[in-house]
Amino acid sequence: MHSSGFFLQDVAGFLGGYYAFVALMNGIAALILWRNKGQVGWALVWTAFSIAMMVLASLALSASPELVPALPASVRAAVNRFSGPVLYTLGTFALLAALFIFRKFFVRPMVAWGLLNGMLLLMGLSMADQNFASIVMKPDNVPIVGLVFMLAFFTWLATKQAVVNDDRIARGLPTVEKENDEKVLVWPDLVYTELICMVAVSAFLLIWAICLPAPLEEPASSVKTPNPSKAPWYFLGLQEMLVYFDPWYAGVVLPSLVIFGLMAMPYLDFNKKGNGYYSIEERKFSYLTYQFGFFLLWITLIILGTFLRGPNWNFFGPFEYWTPYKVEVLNNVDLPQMFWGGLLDRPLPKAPAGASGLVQAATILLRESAGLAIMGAYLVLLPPLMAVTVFRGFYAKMGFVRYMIMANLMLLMLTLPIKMILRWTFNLRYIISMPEISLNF
Amino acid sequence: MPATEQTSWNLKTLHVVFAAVAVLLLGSTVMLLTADHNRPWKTYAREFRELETWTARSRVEEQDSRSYETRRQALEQALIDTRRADLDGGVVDAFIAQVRTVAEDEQAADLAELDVDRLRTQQDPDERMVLRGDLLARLRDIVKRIKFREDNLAGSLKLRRAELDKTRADYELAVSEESAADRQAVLLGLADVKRKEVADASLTFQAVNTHRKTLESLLQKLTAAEDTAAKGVADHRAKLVQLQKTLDQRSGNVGKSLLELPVLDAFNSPLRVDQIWLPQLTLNNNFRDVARFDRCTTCHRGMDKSMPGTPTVPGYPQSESMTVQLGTPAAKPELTTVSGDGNDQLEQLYGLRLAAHGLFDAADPTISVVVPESPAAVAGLQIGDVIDQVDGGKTLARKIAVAALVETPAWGKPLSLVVRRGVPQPYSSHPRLDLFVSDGSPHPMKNFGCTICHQGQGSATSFTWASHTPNTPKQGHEWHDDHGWFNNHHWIQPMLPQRFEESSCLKCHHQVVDLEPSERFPDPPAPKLVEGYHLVRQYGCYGCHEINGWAGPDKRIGPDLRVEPNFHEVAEAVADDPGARELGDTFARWMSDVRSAPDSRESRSRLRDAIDRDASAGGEAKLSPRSHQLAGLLKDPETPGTFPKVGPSLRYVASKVGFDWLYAWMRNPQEFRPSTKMPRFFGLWSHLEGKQLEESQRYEPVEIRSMVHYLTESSAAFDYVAPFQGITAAADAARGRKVVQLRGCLACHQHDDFPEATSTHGPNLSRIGAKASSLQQGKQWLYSWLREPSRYHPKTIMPNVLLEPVALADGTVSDPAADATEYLMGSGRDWKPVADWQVETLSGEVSFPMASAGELGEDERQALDELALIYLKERFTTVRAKQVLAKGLANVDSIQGDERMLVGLDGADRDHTLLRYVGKKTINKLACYSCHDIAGFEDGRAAGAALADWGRKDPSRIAFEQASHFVTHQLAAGHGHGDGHGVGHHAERPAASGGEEDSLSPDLAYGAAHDGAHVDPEALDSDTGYYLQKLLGHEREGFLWQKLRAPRTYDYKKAENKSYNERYRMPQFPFDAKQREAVMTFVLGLVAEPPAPQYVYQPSPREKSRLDGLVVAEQYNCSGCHTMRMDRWDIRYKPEALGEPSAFADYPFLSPHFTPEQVASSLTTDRQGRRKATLVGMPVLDPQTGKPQLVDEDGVPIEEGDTESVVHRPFALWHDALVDGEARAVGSQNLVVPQDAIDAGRHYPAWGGDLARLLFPVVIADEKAVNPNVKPDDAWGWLPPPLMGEGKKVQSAWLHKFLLNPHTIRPPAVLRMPKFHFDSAKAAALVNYFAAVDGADYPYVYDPRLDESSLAEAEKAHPGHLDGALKIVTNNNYCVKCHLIGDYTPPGSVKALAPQLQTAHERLRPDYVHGWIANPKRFLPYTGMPVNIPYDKPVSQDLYSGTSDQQLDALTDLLMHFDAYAKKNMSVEAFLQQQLPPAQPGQPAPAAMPRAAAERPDAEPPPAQGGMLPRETGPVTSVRSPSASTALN
Repeated sequence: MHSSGFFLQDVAGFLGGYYAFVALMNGIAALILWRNKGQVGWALVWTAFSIAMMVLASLALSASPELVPALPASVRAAVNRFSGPVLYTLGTFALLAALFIFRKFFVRPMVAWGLLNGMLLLMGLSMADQNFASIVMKPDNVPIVGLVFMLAFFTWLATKQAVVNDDRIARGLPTVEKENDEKVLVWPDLVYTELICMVAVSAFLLIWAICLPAPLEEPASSVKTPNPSKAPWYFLGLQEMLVYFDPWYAGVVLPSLVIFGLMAMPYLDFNKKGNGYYSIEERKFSYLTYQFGFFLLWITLIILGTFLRGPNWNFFGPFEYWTPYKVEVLNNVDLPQMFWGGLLDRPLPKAPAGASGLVQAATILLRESAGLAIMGAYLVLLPPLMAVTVFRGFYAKMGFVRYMIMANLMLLMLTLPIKMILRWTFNLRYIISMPEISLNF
Repeated sequence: MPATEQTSWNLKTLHVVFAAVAVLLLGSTVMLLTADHNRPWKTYAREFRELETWTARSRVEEQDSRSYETRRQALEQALIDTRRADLDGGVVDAFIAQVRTVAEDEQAADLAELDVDRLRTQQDPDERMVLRGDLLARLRDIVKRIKFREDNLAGSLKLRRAELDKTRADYELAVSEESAADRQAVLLGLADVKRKEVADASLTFQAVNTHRKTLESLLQKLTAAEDTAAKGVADHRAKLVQLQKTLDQRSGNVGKSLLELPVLDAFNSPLRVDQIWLPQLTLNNNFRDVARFDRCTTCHRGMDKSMPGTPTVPGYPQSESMTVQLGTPAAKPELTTVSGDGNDQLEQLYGLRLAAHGLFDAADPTISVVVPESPAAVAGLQIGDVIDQVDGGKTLARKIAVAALVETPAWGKPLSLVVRRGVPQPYSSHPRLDLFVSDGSPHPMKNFGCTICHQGQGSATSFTWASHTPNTPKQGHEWHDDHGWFNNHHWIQPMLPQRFEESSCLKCHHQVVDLEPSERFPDPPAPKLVEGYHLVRQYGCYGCHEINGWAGPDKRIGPDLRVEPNFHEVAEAVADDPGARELGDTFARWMSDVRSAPDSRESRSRLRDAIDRDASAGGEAKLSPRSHQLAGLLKDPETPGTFPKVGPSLRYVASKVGFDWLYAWMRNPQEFRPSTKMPRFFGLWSHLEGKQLEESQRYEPVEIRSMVHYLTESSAAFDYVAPFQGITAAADAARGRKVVQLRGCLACHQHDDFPEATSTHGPNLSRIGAKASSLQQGKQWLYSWLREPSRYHPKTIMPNVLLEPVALADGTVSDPAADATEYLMGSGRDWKPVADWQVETLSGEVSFPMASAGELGEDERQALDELALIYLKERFTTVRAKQVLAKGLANVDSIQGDERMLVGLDGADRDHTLLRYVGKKTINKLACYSCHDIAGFEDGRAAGAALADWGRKDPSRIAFEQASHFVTHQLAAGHGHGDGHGVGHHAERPAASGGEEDSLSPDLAYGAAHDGAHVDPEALDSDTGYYLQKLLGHEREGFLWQKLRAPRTYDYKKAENKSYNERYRMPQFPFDAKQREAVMTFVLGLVAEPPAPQYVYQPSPREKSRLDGLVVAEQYNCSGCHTMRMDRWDIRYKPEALGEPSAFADYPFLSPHFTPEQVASSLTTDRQGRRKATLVGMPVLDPQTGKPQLVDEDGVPIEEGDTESVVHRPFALWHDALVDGEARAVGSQNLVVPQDAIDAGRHYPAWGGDLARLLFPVVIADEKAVNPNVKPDDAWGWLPPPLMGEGKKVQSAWLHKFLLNPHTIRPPAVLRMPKFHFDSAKAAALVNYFAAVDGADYPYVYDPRLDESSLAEAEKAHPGHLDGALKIVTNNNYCVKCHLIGDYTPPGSVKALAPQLQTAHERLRPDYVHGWIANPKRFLPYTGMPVNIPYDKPVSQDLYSGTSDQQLDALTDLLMHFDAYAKKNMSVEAFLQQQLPPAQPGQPAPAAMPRAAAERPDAEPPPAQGGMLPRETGPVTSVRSPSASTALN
């Protein structure tokens, strides 16, 4: 098998407890299903699962390399081999699409419970891999693991509410929120529960701090940058964008646009439905846009940055050792080069030495003409085009200004996935590359 | 919807939930407090407190033992006895009479008298004692009363004086205020009255004072005995009281435990974090240096504790198991059943007691009391020892131990006890309190803390965060299990593991030699580091790896090991330039000056200027551009390196060795000379297979060939030394063997014929014949080398041993150098290069054949072409390179560099030209010039990585490559446990499981195994395991280990992706595992992080002189011949075991001097009943075997096989010693030391003198053939003398001259001081060294005795002062009997001759001469010179009338002014004519012109061979006496 020695000794206790916890969780679930819901079949299924988990727990506690449950090495190797930024990004997109399309299936409690258990089991099995564990158990990364589960849960919860409401709306019933629209008392219903939460969270934070001390690393040095050097976790999405964009765009323009876009949202939103209750059917465009921007372009990039970007910002499979010696090909070319060199088979236009500023500027513009044309078409031509085609209804409802703002924001948001795809397919670095004025796009 | 009273949540549920989370919060708060309170260090602190209390209690108990009680009773009885004794009636009467002298005390006197009467009449002794006490009390009372009176009087006297002062002041004020005269008079009168009063009061007071003092002294006389006895009782109690007090302080109490409670412990808890704050000794945090906080002693509380009374013996040594022999009573004692706890019986039988329960384990039978000098004490048992086994039986509990000791022993035979002594970490004390931690040491803890040496995280208070580093994988595992240890990469300065802990010394001890054992610290302070330093020096690592100790001209950062400037090489290269001949003689002289004395600045700067001038002449320049370029190297560097290149010069190699030898040597130096220091460059293929192996196999032979070619072709013509004229004896190997043996070769070299010579300073000569005979002129070269090494290599450390012609018994004259050459040429002649050397590779053994000198084979030519092409491609484009290779270069003007050699490659000389080119390129690639002087590489640069801060090199910047895989696979295949580098059969590389990346991570290394690793470091031996773990973890230590072990293996699976020339080039050094670790200790210590200047070791000027000299002495191997430091034996002997000192009337100024404290400490007996003594000198050697002599207690040598006798070792003292409180003077007698006294103590071996010891039996045997009555001690006089006391003996100026140009001093010596090729600065360093070591004055000394004026005074005080002295000197009973004086040589064997006296005034210091004449043996215990002027028996007054002291002074004065005196006064011969009987046949006739000789004080002393060869006539023709050559026969 794969791991032994200190690592297994150390991780075995944790894994034992972990599996026992999952077992207990399923046991309780089974009990509730049996006693409160009367779903004896499911109760039996989860009892069986619970027993299996107990077996895994005892195996894990053995701390012996032969017995600790783990994913087969071949599976791990395959995962490592096939994972990469393309697959990851497209995979998460596909996953989210599937979750959206089959949301009615996924919101079933038993399916969700099954998925949760599957995730937990996969996690447990993966933890027996030292490379995986060393990243996941790093004290800084533990909150991100929590974030993954919490996000999944709340997304599931919201989706479930929405699905229920959509179903009710379809059947002509009032939404759940409307039906339960009762006033509650500030005391005890609000303040008391808040107090309880406060106490519980305090206790939780104390225990966390004792059990998982804050990580301290070596003193910073001007001659040695940490490798990988990573931004705080909440900025890892931005850091990932740096792979595809010039820093001024990924670091300044895009984040500002995100904030601006969030602020603009209430003013752009013309759909009066969905206020005060969960619904997807009634707000599909808003829902999808938001989920796309938030999940795909922010959260999954954070997860990517945290768990899968290693030394030199190289991509590493989840079970891969983060060796600083890994090398990846980064032969990216700019669009002007493709255009002039590849398409026209001519050298890049270059201003003669000693040329005046004006000539130089003109030459640069000439050099970048293709990129500028594409960008111009994308940002100037596309919105009207969309207004008369796919967004005809929108344009009618929003008016010119609101529509143009919405369309440009959306197009700018889409530059990220577009740029990603262009990078992956054509090794395109920049569409416009004007290092003379530090402007790259 | 209207509000209702209905709550959304069930309130009851909420209450329950609230209660639950509240409890949870409470719980977590408690958890928080607990976690904070129960920090691990508190447990250690408590445990240590236990330990201290336990120890204190044991000491109290020991003090309080039965023997203590017995002693107390005896003392008290003694006190009572004194009290029962009668008082001295006379004194009592005198007392009373004295009392009566004062009227006021009459009554008291009466009462006292009554008491006296009562006492006189009383008969009952008890009553008498009471009455006696009463009487004494009364007498004391009287004194007390008088004292009271006296105090009163003193008070009133003070008052009167104050009044007097006031009246005086009043009067003076009145005067200054110009008051009325009458008022002044009144005041003056008043003052007079007061003055009178004061005078009266004074008188009264003085009377009473005297009265009291008289009485007091009488009383004291009465009670003296009693007081002494009472003091004895008090003293006896005092120690116990003190110990009791310590115990009370240490043991806990309610108050203390209260303060340790949670929360309360925030306020002044007795358990505290101990911290040492070191604001100057900063910690580098990259952006800021911060003060160091070392909290190590929070857990390591016993670190600074020493044994009471001994500041440097650890109080709590680290646990170790030992076996002791405990003597049992001869007969079975009466009571052998245990009663009670058995302690009484144990104390009776053995003098020990066992504690009720053990310290760290309650069941441990732990010794709590050891009675001094009891069997237990003699056996060496100590308090705290845990008895583990008694006679092989395990004693797991106290009861079992007691039974085993009391009930079942075989009485009369000693019991073998296995005891555990000491305490485990973290409680133990520092093992070297003499060096560290203690206040008296050079590194007191409060100034240095811990982490500056040990590293680690000093501010941590838990095991894990302190960054402890395990010494072995197993230890790491144990720590992990016991303490949760892990390898914390984030602390970039983890603690040094035990094996490298000496590395840190380098931070401050930049000279390193200061870490060698010294007088003050005879125990080596850092043996491993020093060994590493010497290895780096000897193997010349600094040739390729610069170790620069300077970060600027004034900033020292670490040890400085750099190659010295290449001045002499540049001079040689310029001399080789054809143009140099055209520049004239002056230029040639400058060149030769720089060549032979490169450090002389004058010639060098002139040479440089001349070359620069030539360069600026442009087209007119005579010298080649290369010479112009080299001139820059003649500049004075800012801080020049000081270490020479370690290899011999190859500038004339073609005149030294032939092709075969050179080829074989380069191929594998160890093949020819297994002990060589030259590393191996070729055939390092253990990591190669397939195409890469094939490449190496094809190219390397050609590379060697081309290097040989280049070296031979570029070699300059060598001017061999011509043999002496007039040699009549043919060279003879047998005589040559003797020359090699006796003339000092063996001080540095080894030879199979002399297995007892073990020095590795020079190369092993066993096969030198084979080497020299590889070339036709080899013999000529060897002869030249022996005669004049500097001719071949001006910087060689091989000295000129000054071999000069010798007259043989048969009248012929031989040339020792030729003889030695003849002998050496015969050494190892049968050696032949291995034709087919089998080299290990990954795919089995392959052969590396020997090449033949002839033309190149077709394959070789092909390989040569390919190699040349590789080099050319580095310079030109591929196409051009191919062109050049095919046709050569037509025009070289535009080409710089080595390619210029490739002119006309299409000619017939193609092979040669290419060989030369590739040879030069290869030499450059392999950086041969780093160790050797090679023509064309005068400006070669260090080829390897600089090491000055390698110990801090970031591992991410080290290329670990695939070395760990190589090692793992090698180990998995069962290879590489030893030093072997090869893998015989390459184990099929096991497929990484599941095809996963065979990855290594720092964590994984400590996880013992990972995917693809096949070897568990823990399963290996601890060293290999340790290094493998470090290699797997990509840590510096692991890299270095493999780099030193098999440097080329870093190419494993890497060579495939490299071109041939990109492969690693570091050669493999023949280090063994121990040496490797030593080198690593040194290299890892190079961190270039000197602490604040006040912490860096700054030797005192004297110490600095010692250290500077030490470096030179080591470089030139002074200790090969001379004993630089004698043996030191710290013995522990039983009182009187070393016999009585011999009584000898000697001059007082020679008598040993010891302080009363030293005498007292010499008389103290330790618990084992032994005394300590320090003996410095040499063990007496057996004249036959040369081994230390073993004798029995009577001094009779022990025969071999005699097992009955008690072994003793005779020892000749060279320092005065104290034995049994009595001085043992040097030279008085040999001490016969029992072996057990030596074993119980320590032995610090001598430094140097190996050759003298080696030759000791040899010269005795030689002399025996001539003179059967030879005295063994005399032989020392024929051998290199020990240099103990040299600084006090000789004058610095003389020694300096002598070192640079030695001459014969002692005629009988079998070998001469050789002439070393060092410069004046190095000679001065040595001179200062000797003076510094001996505490003599240097470099300038003024001695009034050397002044002419002092002589005049002496002459005035004693007319005929010097004339008388000369009478003594020339009296044939005295000096002239043995000493040469001026032109006079005493008759008899050369072996009896003594040094020339005429030049003594230049050589010796006056004090030394004075002492030496008084008693020579006090300075040189083996000397044959007798005491000529005994202290109690002056020399005949006819010669010099006066006391011994005066005669001594006169002789000293004469010798110290001999020169001037002789010039002035006399003809020695004239004196001798009068004194000597008529000349006998066989003795020298007095020279014809004595006066002339005496008047030539500047004449050199007669030359070497015993002054036998008058200097006027050449060395050969006038050999005088056959006995002259006995030494060499």
